[in-house]
Amino acid sequence: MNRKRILSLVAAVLVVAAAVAAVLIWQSRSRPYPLTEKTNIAMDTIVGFKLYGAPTGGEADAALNVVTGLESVISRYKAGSDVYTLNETGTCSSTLLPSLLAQCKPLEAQSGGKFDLTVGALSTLWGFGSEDARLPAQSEIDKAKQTVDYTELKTDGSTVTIRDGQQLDLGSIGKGLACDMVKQYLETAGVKGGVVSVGGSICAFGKKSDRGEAWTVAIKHPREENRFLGYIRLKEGFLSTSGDYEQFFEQDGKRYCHLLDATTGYPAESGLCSVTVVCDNGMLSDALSTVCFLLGEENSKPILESYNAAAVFVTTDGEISTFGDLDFTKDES
Amino acid sequence: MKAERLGLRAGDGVIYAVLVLLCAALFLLPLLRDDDAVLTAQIMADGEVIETVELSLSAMQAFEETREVNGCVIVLSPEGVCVADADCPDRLCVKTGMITRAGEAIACVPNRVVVTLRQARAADETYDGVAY
Repeated sequence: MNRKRILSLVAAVLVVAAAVAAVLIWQSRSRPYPLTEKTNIAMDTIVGFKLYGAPTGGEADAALNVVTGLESVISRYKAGSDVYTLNETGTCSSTLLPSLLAQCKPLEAQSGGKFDLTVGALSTLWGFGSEDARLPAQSEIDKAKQTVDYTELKTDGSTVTIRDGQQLDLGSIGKGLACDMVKQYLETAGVKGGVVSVGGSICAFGKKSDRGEAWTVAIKHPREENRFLGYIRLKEGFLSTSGDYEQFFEQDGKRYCHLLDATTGYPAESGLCSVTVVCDNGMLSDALSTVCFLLGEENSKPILESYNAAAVFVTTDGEISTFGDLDFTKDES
Repeated sequence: MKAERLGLRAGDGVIYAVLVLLCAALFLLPLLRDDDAVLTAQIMADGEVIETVELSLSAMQAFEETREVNGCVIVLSPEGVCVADADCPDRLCVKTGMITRAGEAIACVPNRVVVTLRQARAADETYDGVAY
């Protein structure tokens, strides 16, 4: 065997070895970190955790405790919660509520009062999500509407006060807020990345492998079973969907959904059946998706812009459109 | 001419061909995996996983299987899962209809029942979460 031939063969073997090394490195970088999954019920909805690189594996259980802990503070129904106490007695001391209410006030103003956290009496009257869901009489709606006015909420340090008869309902921000708090906990606990879903609110954070590819979140189709509307890809962020398809009833051929316009006392009729909002804060994404649903597509855009948020709108005619910086792909299957 | 310059012989082609095939196999092997990975349905009640069912004809006793959990009638088939009936007041779980894709879930909040579809290999799922 002459020297040139040996060198040629060695060169070929080296090329193959380099290719093998490249493939192995590529595969190891794309291999996800160990996965921990958990699904359960909290805040009256499905809560799911898909966590990558959780140091002990117990972080999903602890994260669920964060959600139930928050629920015990902001639930309207759990005796002893801050919101329950406020609604029952007209006042409460809370470390959480004053800052939440302050953060939501500008959005309540921007929505022209359609979005109002003191909508509780109307929510109770319509009874969505319970066996008592019904179309109330106009007189009942008028009476409940008189209790709705966010400007009457008063905070003094940690003390919150509402007018007699007013009812606070944090249903439009609670799930997004839960995503904020869970993300904060999981990052502190050293989880490398994951997707947290609390009903229609989702948080995607960190990485699932060394490559750090984007997360893909599927959006439920508002009208068709077994179909997704599409997929949103995001590196990191929060996403919330509000739609008329989860809690609703039909009467005389008309659909009544749980998203109430506080100025009319009736479910919103803005021409939309679903809105998904993406931004960098969970509570905000949750609140904004409700606001957009209440205001309709065109009126929402200036508000979305002011919060640097993006959205996917679906009209009742089935038209899909997007606003803002968003990587959205329709599901064509 | 070039082969002579490199000092190659006729039989060396076989060695190079094997090396090229080896390289090609390394890149192609990941593509040959089974993309038809089987779905599994995980049934939870009161916060505990009570059963995991592989949704395939080979693993199931019949084309359609039924479970009754906390007042929910859960129907499992190779196509997916649905809650066919429930004694809860709002029956949102029944209205959800059939779920067919990994990552989807049905919850009956009043009865504390959750059914989740998963794929055998989570990495194969085409999405990381579902916004309901």
